[in-house]
Amino acid sequence: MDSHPTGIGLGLRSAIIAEIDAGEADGALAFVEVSPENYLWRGGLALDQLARIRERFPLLGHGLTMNLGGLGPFDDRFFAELKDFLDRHPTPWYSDHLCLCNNGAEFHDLLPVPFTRSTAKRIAARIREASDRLERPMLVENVSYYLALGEVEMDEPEFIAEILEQADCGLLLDVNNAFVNAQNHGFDPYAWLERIPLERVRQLHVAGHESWDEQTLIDTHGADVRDEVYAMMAWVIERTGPLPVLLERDNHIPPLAELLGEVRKLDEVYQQALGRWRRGTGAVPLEVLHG
Amino acid sequence: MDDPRELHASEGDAKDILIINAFTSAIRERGIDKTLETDLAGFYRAHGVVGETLEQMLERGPRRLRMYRQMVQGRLRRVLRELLPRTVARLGKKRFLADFADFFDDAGSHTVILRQVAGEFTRFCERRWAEAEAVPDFLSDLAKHELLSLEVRNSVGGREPATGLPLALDRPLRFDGTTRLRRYGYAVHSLPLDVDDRSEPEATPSALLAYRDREKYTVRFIALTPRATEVIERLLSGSTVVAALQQGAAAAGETLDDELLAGMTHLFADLSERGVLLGALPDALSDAPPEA
Ligand SMILES: [Fe+2]
Repeated sequence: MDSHPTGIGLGLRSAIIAEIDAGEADGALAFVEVSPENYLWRGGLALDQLARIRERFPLLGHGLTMNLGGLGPFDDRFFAELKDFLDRHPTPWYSDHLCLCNNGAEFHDLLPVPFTRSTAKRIAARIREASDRLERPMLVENVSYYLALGEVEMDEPEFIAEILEQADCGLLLDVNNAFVNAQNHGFDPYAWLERIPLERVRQLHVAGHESWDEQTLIDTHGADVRDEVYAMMAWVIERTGPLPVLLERDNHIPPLAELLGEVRKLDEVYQQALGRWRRGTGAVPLEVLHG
Repeated sequence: MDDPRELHASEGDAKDILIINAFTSAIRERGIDKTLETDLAGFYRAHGVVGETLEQMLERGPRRLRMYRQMVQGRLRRVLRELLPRTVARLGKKRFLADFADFFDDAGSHTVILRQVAGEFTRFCERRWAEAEAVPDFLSDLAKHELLSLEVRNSVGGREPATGLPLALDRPLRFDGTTRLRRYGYAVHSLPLDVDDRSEPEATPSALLAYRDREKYTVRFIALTPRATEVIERLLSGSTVVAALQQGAAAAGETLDDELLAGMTHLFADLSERGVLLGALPDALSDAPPEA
């Protein structure tokens, strides 16, 4: 994991891929995050655009369907295709979610898993297997969950920490998911963050969320990032130092120029947090920051 | 005797499996939305969830369980509406909901690629649509036509180089890798693209050659005559030109005369100009036929 981008990046989505391909985000993004599932077993325009974009931006690979929380064996055909894609589009690591995607059929969604020791053990073994199959380090991402499943043997931070430890892998920390969960399940997001092993964090996600009903926030990636989520991102960066931070936007995607405005806003908060990290750790800035 | 920790772990696994199966059934099972609301305990018990796990799940209530059900199903229905807009619109809301509920419960999706759910849904529905009085006979063809666009637009391959060899009777031909041929019982390709349109296609057997434009990436269709269909179909599966012409003409009930040859020469020239036909192959085995 030695060479990787840091700073703010965007996820490659069909709504903005043409503009990014046309150079409209050049110089404005530290990296582009790609979900291989959008490109596997596929040819045509999107693949040609991706081939050009990867020449101009570092890529980070982020999966949606690995089913790390699942009960059945991995799909060999999928893994072969994914490995081939990652070989052709190298990324320093590959990430997917601490969730269930398939149980006899594909749900095309990120479903919760029971926070139990047996689940943690099973997931950790599957992360190791995935990492071996893909021949690269894996990161796992904490998800938004709207319903706890089964008897809760441990809370989420303990569950995550146990998996990271057993799988010896990194964490893709989604601070919006932590915020949404804190609201929906009534806990303090900073108390939650305090118990996350920050030394394992390799990447962050920030996003906006919406309301499902008056009692439930839902992680739609369909709105601007809230101030509280900015503050959580800064809290983490202040403690970890430079990391790649992805602005996720999957729904109600505004024009690229507007998204890049949000990227700049995020970068300001990120740079301030980095400044505090440098003062805190005594690290010397390698370059004088403009502005 | 087994290590007690191992025993504990397998008990844990069994409990995990029960609750995961109950949870995913709550998302998938047809028509149980009401049961979740009125008899949550009965639902969980029927899935083997008992004891402390049951107590805790009952405390959490049905609301978020139903939310997952609506979220997952709603998202897949949205995807189908996006990928098969005219088919879904013509099914009507009620019929589509029922077809989707059966598809999701009885078959479910078995691909991780979201766009492929459209093909899974269509294959599941084909026979029931054919049997249903209320569903027009041409609907399967319309769905196939919408799928054809999707398939060609996203097809692997395309833009293969020309072979540099002129067409020769004793050789097979190379086609652009995105080329597909489809036959319909109805002229669904002539229907307007407007999702609100309800006009009916003519019940005329039709065949379309579809390919992805090399420069613009758009999907283009060419309506083929019956004899051209027979010939092109054979060429696409790797026949030599002479075999395709002879067998194709016979299958179309026509004689292989000068008029037919002139027509085919004209078609080959047009396809070459469009970058669909890429010349003769050096030998019969050097290109696999494109996947259907
Ligand atoms: Fe995320």
